[in-house]
Amino acid sequence: MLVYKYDGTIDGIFSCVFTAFTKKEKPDLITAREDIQLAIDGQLRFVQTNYENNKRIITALYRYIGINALSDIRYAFRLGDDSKSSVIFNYIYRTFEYRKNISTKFSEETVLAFYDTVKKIANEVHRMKGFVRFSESAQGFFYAHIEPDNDIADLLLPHFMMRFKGIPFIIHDVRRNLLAMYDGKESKTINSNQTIYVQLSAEEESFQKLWQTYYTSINIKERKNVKLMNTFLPIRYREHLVEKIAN
Amino acid sequence: MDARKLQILTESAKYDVSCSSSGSSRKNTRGGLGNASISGICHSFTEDGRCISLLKILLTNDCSYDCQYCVNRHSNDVPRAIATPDEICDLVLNFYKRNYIEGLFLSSAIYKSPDYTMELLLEVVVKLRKTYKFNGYIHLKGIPNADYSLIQQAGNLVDRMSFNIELPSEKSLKLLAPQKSKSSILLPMKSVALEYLENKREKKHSFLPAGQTTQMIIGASPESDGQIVRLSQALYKNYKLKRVYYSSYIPANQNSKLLPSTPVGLLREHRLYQADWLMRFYGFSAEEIIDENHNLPTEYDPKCAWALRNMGFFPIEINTAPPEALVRVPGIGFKGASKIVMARRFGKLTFEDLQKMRIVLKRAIHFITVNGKFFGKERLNLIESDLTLINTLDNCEQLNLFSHPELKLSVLTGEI
Repeated sequence: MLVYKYDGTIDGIFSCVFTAFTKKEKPDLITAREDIQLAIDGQLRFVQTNYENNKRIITALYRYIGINALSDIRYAFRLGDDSKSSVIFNYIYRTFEYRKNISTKFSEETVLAFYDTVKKIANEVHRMKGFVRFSESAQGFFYAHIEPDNDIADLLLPHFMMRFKGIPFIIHDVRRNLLAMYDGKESKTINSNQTIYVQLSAEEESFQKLWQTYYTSINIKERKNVKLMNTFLPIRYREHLVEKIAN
Repeated sequence: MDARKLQILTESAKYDVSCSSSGSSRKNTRGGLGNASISGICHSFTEDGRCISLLKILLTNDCSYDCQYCVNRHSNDVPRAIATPDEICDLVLNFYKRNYIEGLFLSSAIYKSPDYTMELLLEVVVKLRKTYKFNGYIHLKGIPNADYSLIQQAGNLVDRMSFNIELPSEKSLKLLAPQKSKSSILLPMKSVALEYLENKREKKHSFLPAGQTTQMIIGASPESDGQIVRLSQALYKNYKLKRVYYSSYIPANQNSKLLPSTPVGLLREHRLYQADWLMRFYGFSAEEIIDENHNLPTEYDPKCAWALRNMGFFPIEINTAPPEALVRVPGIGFKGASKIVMARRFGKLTFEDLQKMRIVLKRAIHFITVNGKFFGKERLNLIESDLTLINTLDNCEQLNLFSHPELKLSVLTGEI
């Protein structure tokens, strides 16, 4: 079993592809994990990221897939676990074997795996547009903490900026220590380990209470179906939802 | 608004099924708050498995009508409340800013008179749109018997409007909702439909961008599924409705002699939604789905039932059949069909390819060939018992939610 270990960046994956083709070998696993356990017959190759060589990979990708080639791959790279390394590598590797765009060849397992990864992220972005819960601060800005599976906080910015037009807000990915911020004019996403204290506005608590009242009152008891609720509202998201904290 | 009032006005609104916030792409304006998302967004889910997308609330539950099936009927002894337009606006704006909701679904009991009620509803809408420049989604309930000019004004401000048919026939309506009549519901629906089409022809999309919908209670009156499905088809065709919602009857009033004392159960409602989907997205007509005086089968879904009656249509070849034939195969939906069509451009698909693509084959297997080869059972009664068995095994699984192929994402909003 041949394992490639790379630096955990998207450029690192491109370098893995370059390495595989120049060495004429096909690794069984691509990983960025430090705690990798090798099988007894396992062979490990450390792949150095090489931007110069990557250029050839990227040019070829554009030629085979078209102008969206990198955006789809970058999007897939937002997946929250290491499985993305192999998924993206295999997709590029297979595209190079076919020398054409195979993004809809769903009978190909590598394509389907890549497609599923992209969809997983798109689904979470869509879900989060609904599950973000803002609190109003005494200073007038709105603050929300989230814990998405994937690295998507910055993808939520355009959606909320259009809605909030002029009202500043912060979406805080507490797992990745990311702050996606909008000051009323411009937006940026920064890394920050700082704990954030938000002083709530005088009205905030009463609206949270009203929302909890609404949540309980709109439910139809005769149609109880907790299983269905759990499918749509995964338990892992709930600690950030005002209406579920009270329940 | 205080919590008690919110509770009363919410509990009296909850039986309205629709919570969809889709179909409109209203943009935010200068200095405004909010916009609408074309696919709709679910913000939470309650223990009944339904989504919360809009703040669904009544302006008041103080009703002068006495409809038998309704919790808010005049003769019912329940706590009553009325909210002011300002209270509603305040709640909408503050819930919206916290991203609890996509917007408002405002309805009301008939308070004093239909016109007076409609005026109050219109006041809320005007305040939200004009004073507060709120551009989030608004679904407004139309009040039967209200002056059309009020309805028209509202239609130019909100995204969606609905008049509830409530009962699927004139006779049942007369019996159970004596103050309403078929014409008091259908006339405004028709006027709204005409205005909607006119507006679309002029390419303005300002009048009810998300169209109109309606709701029927299933099982409170004796109409068959065949009649109901035909009524829905007529509404989609003639009135250009976006959705017909079906609400399985729950006895909300214990002491009515005219109504059944037991609930209908969710399976019948589920089958009606499946039939509805077949009409709206799969190119089936009501006549193909079910005979007029019959009910939909309980053992399997309406597409399976159609396939079993039309075995001459099958088997179809996966590698050559047009998409509109593929979606008629039990077990193959829009997602599956579009995957098949895209993938077969690269070469002939094999049975293993279909499995890899995660096309659900347990039902489909009896109705398809793959490269000329048939993998299913030959005899109709064997296929029938197979499909019944699959249905029993799947019974605990809930509604299979449909997602529009163009949207890429699952559109979950308000689909049940």
